[in-house]
Amino acid sequence: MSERIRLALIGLAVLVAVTLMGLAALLSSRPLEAFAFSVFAGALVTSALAIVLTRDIVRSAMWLMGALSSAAGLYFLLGANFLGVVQLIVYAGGILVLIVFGVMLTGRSPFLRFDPRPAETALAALVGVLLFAAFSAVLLGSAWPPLPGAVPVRQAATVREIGRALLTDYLLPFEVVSVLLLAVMIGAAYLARPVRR
Amino acid sequence: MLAVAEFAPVAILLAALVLIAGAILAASHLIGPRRSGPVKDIPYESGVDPIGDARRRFNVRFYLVAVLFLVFDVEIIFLYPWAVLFLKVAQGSIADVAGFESLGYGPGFLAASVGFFFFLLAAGFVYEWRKGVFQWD
Amino acid sequence: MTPPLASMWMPSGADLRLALPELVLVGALAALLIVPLLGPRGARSAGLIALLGALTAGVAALLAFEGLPSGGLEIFRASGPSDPAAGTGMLVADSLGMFFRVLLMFFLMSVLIMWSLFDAPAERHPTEFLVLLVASAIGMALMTTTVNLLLMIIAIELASLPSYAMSAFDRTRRAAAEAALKYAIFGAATTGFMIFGASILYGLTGTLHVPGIARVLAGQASVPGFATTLTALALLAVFAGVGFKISAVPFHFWCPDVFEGASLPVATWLSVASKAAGVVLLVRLVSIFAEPAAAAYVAGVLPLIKYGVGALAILTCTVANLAAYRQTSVRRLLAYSSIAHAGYMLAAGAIIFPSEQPSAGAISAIVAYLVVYMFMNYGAFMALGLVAADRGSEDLDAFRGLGWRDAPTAAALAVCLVSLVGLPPLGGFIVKWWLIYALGAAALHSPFLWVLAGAVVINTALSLFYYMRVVAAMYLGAYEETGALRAPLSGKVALHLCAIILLLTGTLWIAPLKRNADGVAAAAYSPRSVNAGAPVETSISVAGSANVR
Repeated sequence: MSERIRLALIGLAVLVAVTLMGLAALLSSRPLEAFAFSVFAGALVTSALAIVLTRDIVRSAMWLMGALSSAAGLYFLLGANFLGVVQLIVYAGGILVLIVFGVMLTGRSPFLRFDPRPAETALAALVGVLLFAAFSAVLLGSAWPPLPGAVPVRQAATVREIGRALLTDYLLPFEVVSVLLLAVMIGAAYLARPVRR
Repeated sequence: MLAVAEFAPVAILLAALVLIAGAILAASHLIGPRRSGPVKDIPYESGVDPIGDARRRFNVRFYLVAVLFLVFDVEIIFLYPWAVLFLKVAQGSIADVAGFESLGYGPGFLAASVGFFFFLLAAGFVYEWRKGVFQWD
Repeated sequence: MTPPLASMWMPSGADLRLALPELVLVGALAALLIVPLLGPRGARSAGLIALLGALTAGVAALLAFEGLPSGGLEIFRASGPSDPAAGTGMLVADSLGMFFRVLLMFFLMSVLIMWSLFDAPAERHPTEFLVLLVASAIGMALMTTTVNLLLMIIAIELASLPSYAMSAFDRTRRAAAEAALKYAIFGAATTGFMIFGASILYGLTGTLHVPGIARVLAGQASVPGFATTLTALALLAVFAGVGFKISAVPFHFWCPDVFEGASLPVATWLSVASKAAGVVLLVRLVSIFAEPAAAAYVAGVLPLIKYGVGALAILTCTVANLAAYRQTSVRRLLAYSSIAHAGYMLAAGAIIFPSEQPSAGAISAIVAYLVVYMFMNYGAFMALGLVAADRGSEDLDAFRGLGWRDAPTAAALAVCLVSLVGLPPLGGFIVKWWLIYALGAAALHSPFLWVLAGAVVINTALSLFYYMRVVAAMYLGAYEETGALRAPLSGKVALHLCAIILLLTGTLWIAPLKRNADGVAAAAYSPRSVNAGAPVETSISVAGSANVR
């Protein structure tokens, strides 16, 4: 019985949150964008909190998928479609699998849990709060249009434009990345190989 | 900023999707009958009786596969914008990419620039292959 | 219809010639992978390829010194249709960068020799190891020559990622894996901070070209306070990434563990090459931001860099020297010693301010310091390796009685250690004296720097005691009679060469060292001489309208 109540409560809370977001969005000049932003941002914050609060590592990883996908949604909203796709493919697709595999490989007990000591929790919380305060103070205090004299930045590049920039002005970094990827491939394949004694 | 109006149908579809899915799940939980027993509580694995625990340790080799997948994944992402551009340039329809032609970027240049990129990675790939990293044994 | 093969844009022959050292190393990388497929496998042929690559790259860098204009030039300039800041280069070719590449290649060869002595005989995966080593060398060479934030981050990653893998290379030791994990997590966190800072800088100024960023910042007529804070935060985040590479104190936790867990050649490589690359990168960043110092905007941020770097330097060498006392493992002791030396070099970073004192003094001091530091550290690590090969232990006790058992080796090690302290008549004293002199000269204008100079002097005295513990162990106290070290002769020769060079740089070679260091510093990259009349100014009028959404 209690499970049903909890379920209903969660559903109700989500419904209320989404309605509130919708109402708030109606007040802004671009209601659809504002609504989409608040949905993605809300999902991002919720899953980020859940990552930290969950003690079960596999659940943490699953919430991480939510956080990464919501971030991808924010990228799409900003018109950075390519970046959004990369975020989904590499992070939500690849890195998450790697994390889950890591848990599956190393877990000594089937239900690996993460139980930090109170002192560790306090320290981590202190660092987090300090960083949050510093960043938000600085970011809120800043006027975001770039400084006068700044080089104008182009908005919302298409994949072709990214390709053009990558192969013209950023050709050197592009080629250096191939060296980087080579080193990563060799190093990762060496380290991930089972040791034969 | 992007033209949001274009995405309105997508947004409506998504909203409908979430609502219907949520409603169905909630309804089946709320009004569905509950009968539990030892057989009913077994995890469903396509009708076959499950063997062992779902969270047992995997073979380390899976990790190697995952790592290599990720590396090649990232490589492909770098090739994707190049491929999109190459198609346009090879077709000769790069009028929309202003000033591109006048600077001398032809298909040959594009092939050469990615040729270097690919050569190194291919060398690494062939080395790993010959070394037997991709072998399962 | 079809345009010719990149007739206009392709990097010019001159650009490629100036980047030849990196190209040669990339070629060596490919050869390392391809040659085993064709036939000769094994550590010997792989080592030879790497050695040959390093030698050729070093010679190429040495030859590239000729014809470099004073003030350097930017190469791999963007002229693509998409770049609003056309004409800005990705790399600089200047005396400092070339000097560093020569030094790096020489050091790479020395480390390869050390590797062939200690690790190669038992190494079952020489190709993998050498690919990682050479790749990190390419990253370090790029770190010191780039003026583009994006390439800078990629270069730091290219230097770091192989280093993580190299420190975990011995798969049979748990300590190596643990140290590498610590290293990688620290590295990932600082890289995250650095990218965050770089993106803020890009958002504020619209360019990734570092001199361009400095110019936009310097062009601000009024100084809005919050923007200064934001810039300071961004710069701080970028410097955190560099601080990690040189293991400046809040970011130093990985260093002793990695040095202990990794094999000796890897520890030697990281102790000199990665720190030197970080120091040179820091020097370049600071000197670029110090360039338009007259402007009010940068003047708001500049003291922060100056005092920030200075405070970091004091913290770094003091903490490292105090922590070194408790060590009984000579490897850990040398790790803390390398942190302390990074602190000394960082101190010179605080005085690169052309408005008061020609920055050439500070850069010259760092250049000379790097040369001498390379020899004394290599000598100390080599001696450690020889002792460990003989006694099977790296503890202080393994050195007991070395002075009587094997007098030449002990004497050479003593020379290296005394030089690390910075006592006359050795190279270490001379370069530290130049450093303190440069600090003192700058302190005439800025009293804070007296504190910095004082901290360096006090730390030198502090460090005397723990280096002397090793010397005392070698010469004083009881020991068991076991005869000379059973260790490879070429290792002993290398150690003695280091000692001789330290003696010479402290006596006969003072003048040539000073002359060359001054020459390198005087001709180092200066954005003012390179970018005079770059078209960024013209975009100022456009900027206001272009950014309206």
